[in-house]
Amino acid sequence: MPLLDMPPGAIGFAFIASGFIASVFFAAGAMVSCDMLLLMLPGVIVLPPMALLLMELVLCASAAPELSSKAQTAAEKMRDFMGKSPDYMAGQAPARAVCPAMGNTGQCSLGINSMPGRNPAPGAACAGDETRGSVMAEKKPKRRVIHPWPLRLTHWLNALAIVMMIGSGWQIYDASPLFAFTFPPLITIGQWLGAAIAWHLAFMWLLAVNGLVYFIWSAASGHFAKFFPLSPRAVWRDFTAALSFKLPHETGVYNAVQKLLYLGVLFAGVVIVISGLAIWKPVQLWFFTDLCGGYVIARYVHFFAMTAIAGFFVVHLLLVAMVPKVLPPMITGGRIEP
Amino acid sequence: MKNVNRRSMLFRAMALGAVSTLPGCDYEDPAHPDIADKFLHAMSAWNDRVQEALFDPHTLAPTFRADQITNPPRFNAFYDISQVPVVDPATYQLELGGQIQDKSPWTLAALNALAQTSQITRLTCVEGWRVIGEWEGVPLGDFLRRIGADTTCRYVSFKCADGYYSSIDMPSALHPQTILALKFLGAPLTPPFGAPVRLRIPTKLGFKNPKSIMQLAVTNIYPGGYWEDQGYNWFSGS
Ligand code: HEM
Repeated sequence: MPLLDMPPGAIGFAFIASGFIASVFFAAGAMVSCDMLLLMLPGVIVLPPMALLLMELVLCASAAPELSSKAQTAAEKMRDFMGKSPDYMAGQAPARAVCPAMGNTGQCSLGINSMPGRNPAPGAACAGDETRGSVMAEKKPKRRVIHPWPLRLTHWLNALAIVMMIGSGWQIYDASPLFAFTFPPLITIGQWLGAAIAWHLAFMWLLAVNGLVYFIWSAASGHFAKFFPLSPRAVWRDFTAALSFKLPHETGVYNAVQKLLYLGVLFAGVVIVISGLAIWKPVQLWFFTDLCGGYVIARYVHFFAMTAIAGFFVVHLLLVAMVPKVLPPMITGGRIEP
Repeated sequence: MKNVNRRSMLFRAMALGAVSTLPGCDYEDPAHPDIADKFLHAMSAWNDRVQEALFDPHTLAPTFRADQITNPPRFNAFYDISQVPVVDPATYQLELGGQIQDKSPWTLAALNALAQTSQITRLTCVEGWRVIGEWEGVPLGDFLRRIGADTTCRYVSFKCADGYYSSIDMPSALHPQTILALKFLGAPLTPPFGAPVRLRIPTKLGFKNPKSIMQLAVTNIYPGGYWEDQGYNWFSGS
């Protein structure tokens, strides 16, 4: 099981590398033929999480009864990396229950252990089950997911929409640049203005409707509470701590810098939709155009909102790369111990 | 065995994703639409419907002061200014077709004799630039009613001297600011700017303002357009 010996950092590295390779592969494809991006971009976005899921699958399936002690500690590290509470197996679970994708019910989150032939013993869902089951029976603690599914769904759909909107938006910008530069066609979506506009006006629906669903769900479920309280002092404290790599990551809790970044990008998202409507329909939706200070200014507003979101995107990915263990919960949901 | 199914579905979806990236596709070739093209066309048709629903016949495009007019005006076409067709105003006739009672052609003099209206409005190009200009001419709605056009039809289509063609929806055609322009900046239209007759419709993008119109038809059969057939959104309202 060479994979189990991999240190957690290697998984993070593998994730980023696979994402990079996928991007290069798809970008090359995009250059050869033209608008295959409808099929490619989901690939670029879906492939890295898939690679990660696959890894989890392999790890899960290969967690056999006889583990070397070295592999065992690696697996424990892995469990930590995967966003699970490191001490959930404090009750001396047997070594063979080290599937890192298992919650403390002993169920592998991917369901591998219920596959025929994989079960160490027929009838037992997972080897660690009985031991921990008895511990569980006394407390019956409830576990919460770190990221509920509506959040995960809207988050990844939004990532797709943002990539498509910014890529095609750059191509549209190039037809009539606001500043003394244009975006190289290599990184734009749509080979000519007509195609770029078609992509832009198609994916705007995903961006807007998905965003609306997110806002409604967040308001209804109280999710917005995660962004508060927030004070400039806390932002400064966490910012300086992060710069000196002293900021601890608390599972399921956003630090002040994150809160500020998220609120900022949500605001930019609202601005980009309103300014977009303002330049799409300056006559029928004149109130949006007026709100943005007229058609001419609305174009700048739209551009700067894009800049803000693109900037957030870069910082966001850097932060995720720095603390890669936050990523799997954004895909699988993760678990918070009570 | 729900989990097994789910996993095999996952792999199948991945395989499908890989295979479906293989066939070539280009939105530049409208004759050979592929998956992406079909998706984009469907979304464009949806956007047409949304814009038709959004269209309010009483909402006017913004108007501007004379000192805001863009000077010199900007020429734009799908060819160079040296290739602009020149139509002889003396022999010019506007031909009519489709669901119209009186299809006798119109001379420039006859069009000039009709009640005129003028506007200082902004022409916004699909590329993002815009110019402000002054146009004067016959309100298209007045003209359609005078020739006995069936205004319950869906489309008004235009064919131009340079081979350009386009079409608009009937509610937009009847909008008070939609005119058959005969004058630009106070003087009769010049060839680069659409002489002798052009459509001026400030509630739509620039390419929906065909120049040097030779034929006008009213129809229920979708007429498309030069750019529209290549992928620009048909309604393209503002
Ligand atoms: C493919 C690239 C992306 C990756 C890998 C990614 C990853 C993540 C992860 C791991 C989290 C959870 C952080 C935590 O629990 O501490 C998160 C949250 C978030 N991300 Fe992303 N993200 C991506 C793209 C985007 C884009 C393009 C946007 C918006 C423009 C965005 C907006 C957000 C927001 C607003 C949150 C907070 C969600 C909430 O609690 O409401 N992400 N992202």
